[in-house]
Amino acid sequence: MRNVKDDFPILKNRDIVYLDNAATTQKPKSVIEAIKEFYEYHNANIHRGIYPLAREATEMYEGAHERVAKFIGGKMEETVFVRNASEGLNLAAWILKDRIGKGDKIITTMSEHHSNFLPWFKIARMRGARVDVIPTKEDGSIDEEKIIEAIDSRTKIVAVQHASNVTGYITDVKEIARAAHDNGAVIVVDGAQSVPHIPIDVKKLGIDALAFSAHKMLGPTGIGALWMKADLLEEGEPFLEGGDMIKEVHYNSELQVIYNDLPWKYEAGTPNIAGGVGFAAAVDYLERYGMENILPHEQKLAKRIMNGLEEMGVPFVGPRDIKRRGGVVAFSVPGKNPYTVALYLGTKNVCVRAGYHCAQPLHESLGIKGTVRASLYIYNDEEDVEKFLEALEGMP
Amino acid sequence: MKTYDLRNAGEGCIDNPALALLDVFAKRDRELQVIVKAEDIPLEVLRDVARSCGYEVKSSREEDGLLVAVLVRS
Repeated sequence: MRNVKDDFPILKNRDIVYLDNAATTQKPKSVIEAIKEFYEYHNANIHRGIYPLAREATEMYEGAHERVAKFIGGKMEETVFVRNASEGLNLAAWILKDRIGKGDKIITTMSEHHSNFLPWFKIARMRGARVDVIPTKEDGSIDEEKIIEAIDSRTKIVAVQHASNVTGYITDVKEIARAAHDNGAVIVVDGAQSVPHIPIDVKKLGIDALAFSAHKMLGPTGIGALWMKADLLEEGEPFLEGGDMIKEVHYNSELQVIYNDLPWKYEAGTPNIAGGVGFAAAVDYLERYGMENILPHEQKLAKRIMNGLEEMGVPFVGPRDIKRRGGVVAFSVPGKNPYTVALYLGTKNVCVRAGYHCAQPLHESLGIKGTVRASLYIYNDEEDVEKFLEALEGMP
Repeated sequence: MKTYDLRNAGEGCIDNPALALLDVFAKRDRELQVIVKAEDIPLEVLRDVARSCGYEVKSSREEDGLLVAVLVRS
C-alpha cells in the first residue's frame, strides 16, 4: 500500500511526529514543485502584461480561482483570494457592514476562533449594533438550537465556525443557515478547520460566505479564500483600494471609480500569484486522495487518542461521540501546565500546540487555563498516535 | 553570567514560560541562570528541554515553588 508520508519531503527529512495540523499542515512534493515551476517557467505579473509569459501567469492565477471555487461548489467570480481565513473573515465583516444598522444584532458563538469573533465586535461598534455570543454546551460543543433560538428579525449576520480548532466539534451549519435566511440574515462560516477535512458544497450548506486558508490544507502560507455570494460581493465595498481592482479612475475635481469585475474588485495590488498556483496544486492533491476519505481516517486516529487519554486519566474537551467531531483533540493533563506538556513532547520530537489556540473566550467559559492540542491530517498514522501517547505517558 | 527571570512570562499563545525558555536558549549564552516557577517548568522537563537545545543543567535548587537553575552550553 502507498504510504502517504512518502509524498511529504519534510516527513522524510525530519524525525518528527507532526500533530499540529490545525495550526498548519505540511506540504506535498506536488505543491512545492508547482510553486517552484511557476517561478522557474511562468513568473510575470497578472492582468497587465501583453506578452505571452504574462498571459500564462494570468491564466494560471485565474485557473487557480476556478479550481478552488469548484472544490467548494462555488463560482470563480465569488471566490476572492485573500491572505488567510482571518483576512477572509475580516473582509466579510467589512463587506457586510452596511447591512447593519443601529440596534441590529450580530450572532456568534463562544467557541469561535478570535478571527471570527473580534471582527464582528469591531463592525458592531462602528454601526451601533450589538453582538450576541451564544454559549456552548458543557463540553464546548456549539449549541445549534440556542443559536437558532437567538436569531430574530433584528439579526443581520450569523457568524459561526464549521469545525472547532479546540473541541473538534462539527457544526450543523445547514440548520443555522435556514434559520438565518428565514429571518433575512446572512450567514458567514469560518471554514478554516472544515474545508481541509470535509467535502464542502456551499450550495448544499446554504450559506452566504465561507473563509478558509490554503496552508491548513497542504497549500502554501499567505493565501486563502473568501467565498461569498455574488450579490453580496457586488453590493459591498472593497477594503483595499489600488491596482487591478479598478477598471477606470477619473479625477476632474471629483473622483469617479469603476471597480473591476468580481472577484478582482477585492484583490488590490499584485496578489500572491505563486501562492494561488500552490493553492490549486493542494486542491488537486486532496481530490486525488479523496476528500471523502479524510474525516473517517482522522476520526479513527482521534478515537485512539481519546481512548489513550482516558486510560491515562487525562480529560479532553469536546464531544465524546466521535461522529460529531474531527481530528482535533485538546486536553489538559491534571496538575500540569499545557505549555510544559507541549515543551516536553517537543523534546521527544512530538509536535503539538499548547495554549488557548486563539479561542481564549471558549477556554475561559469552560474554566480551563489552556489545553494541549493534538490535531491530525491525512499523513498521520497509528504509529504517530502510539508515539504521541507513549511520550505523554512517559512525561515526568 | 546572565540571569533570566521567567516568573512573569504571560499565559497566552505567544507569550508563556515555555516559549520564554526557548527564547533564552536561542540567545546561545555560554552560561546562564534561569528562574522559573517549578509548576511551570519542573526540573526533569527543564533537563530534557535544555538537552534538546544544546545545554546541560550545571546546578539547580528549588525553594518556595521556584526553580533556579544554572545551565551551560554543552
